[in-house]
Formats: sequence, structure tokens, C-alpha cells
Amino acid sequence: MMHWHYTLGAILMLLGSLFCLLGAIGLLKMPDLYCRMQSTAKGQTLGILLIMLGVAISFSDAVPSSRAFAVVLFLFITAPVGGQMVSRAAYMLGVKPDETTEIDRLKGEISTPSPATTDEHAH
Amino acid sequence: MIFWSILLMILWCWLNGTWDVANLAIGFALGYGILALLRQRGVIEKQEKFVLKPLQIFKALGLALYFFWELVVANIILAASLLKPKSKLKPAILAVPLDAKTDLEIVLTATLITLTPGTLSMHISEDRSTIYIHTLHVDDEAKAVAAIKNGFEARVLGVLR
Repeated sequence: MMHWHYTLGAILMLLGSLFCLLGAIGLLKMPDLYCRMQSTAKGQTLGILLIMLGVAISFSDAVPSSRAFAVVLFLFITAPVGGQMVSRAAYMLGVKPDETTEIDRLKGEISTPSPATTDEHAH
Repeated sequence: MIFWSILLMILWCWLNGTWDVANLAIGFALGYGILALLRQRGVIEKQEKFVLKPLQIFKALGLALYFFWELVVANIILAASLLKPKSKLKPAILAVPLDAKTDLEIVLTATLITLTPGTLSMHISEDRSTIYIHTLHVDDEAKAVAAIKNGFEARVLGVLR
């Protein structure tokens, strides 16, 4: 185990890419736009975090590590804003949640166009 | 503002990896320029006094640890439900009453809720009293609302107040 940090970094990067893959599977399998948004907008936060942690550990040097930290920081600042905005805009445009969504407290709170003309499933 | 410009200058050179005079000057000019622009546009107000008490630092560390723990647990639960061939999701859009009042409190609460998988904050009511959260799986509405309220919001308020 001379280069233990390479091994540890590689394990973390693999684990991170596994979580990113799960986010992509979620994007395909989820029933409606809002659930898909959950998968895409932030399903990968843990994935990217682990990959960047792996990068920082395998370099074991201050400059690449602080850059990796900056990547994680900016991702964590920007990713939620995007997810929130897209789902909110979709709701305002009248994209209906999947019918398994029994509780919808947002109904009537935001004005939505009345006819269900928008179809969330892009064929 | 000079203080923050110098801080940004150090950060710039740190991330660049070079510490010569030219790079320091570029870092300072960029930092000062961006801060001046932000202030002119009214994005940042005049210096607010924000002093961290030692107890707050410990609470902030606790919040960070709690956040990463939640992130890992929620991701594993999500992965498990995705890999099951016939997973039954019960999504819901919950209305959670907010105790957070200031901009910073609300933004931090909403962002942390969104960052954990399974919950996505969608909308905040005009009077800032309620936050609407899309949740992937809800069995008991009251329990889910209480979990969000006592989880992130309580901890964020504990750090900031």
C-alpha cells in the first residue's frame, strides 16, 4: 500500500459515478416532471461530492484540493436554485403532477392555466 | 470593502497557484471591481455586522455534519427504491409553515431542503409564511411535515439566531 491515497481516491470516484448513474436511472424511471427534477437537479450532488473528494485525495495537494472544494461549493449553491426554478415554472405553466400524488397543497396557491394543454411526456 | 477585496485576491491567487505581483494585482482589481458593481446595483447592502459567536460555529459544524448524514442516507434510500423493479412512489406537495423570517434564514432552509434527495422546495407563499415542498414518498403527511420542520429549519434557526 505505497500509494494508498490513489486507491482511496479511485474508490471514492467510482462510488461517486455510481450515484451519478443512479440519478440518470431516476430521470428515466420517475413518473412525472417533479420527480424527475429531483433526480436531475440534485440526485447527483452526492455523486459530484464523492468524485471531487476522490480527486482531492488522489492529488493530496493544496491547490487541486481547493479547486475541487470550489467546484463542490458552487455546485451546491447553484444546483438547488435551478431545480426550484424549473419545477416552479412547470407548475405555473400547468404541468400536472402524476396521479399518484395524492396530496397537493400547492393547488390553488399559484395561478395555473386551466386547460391541461401541456403534456409533460415529450415523445 | 478593501478587506473583502484582499480576501478575494488571496483566494484568486490560491486557486490560480501563482503568487507574483501581476497575479495579485489582477485578483485585487477583479475582486474590487465585482464588489463595486454588486454594490452599485444594490445586490449587496452596506456592511452588515455579522459576528459569529463560538457556540454558533459549533452549531454550524453540527448542521454541516447533519446535512451530509442526511444526504448519504436519503441517497441510499432513493437508490434502493429505484432499483426495486416495482417501486411504488407516493409523491406529495406539502405545505410546511415557516418560522424562518429573514432572507438568509429562508434561503438557507430552502436550499438545504432542496439539496437532500427526496425533497425539493418549489414555492414560498407571498406572505413568506409557508414553503411548498415536493416530496418523493409520503406515508403520513403530518409526520413528513414535522420531520422537515424539526430537521433542517430548526437547525438553521439554531445557527443563525
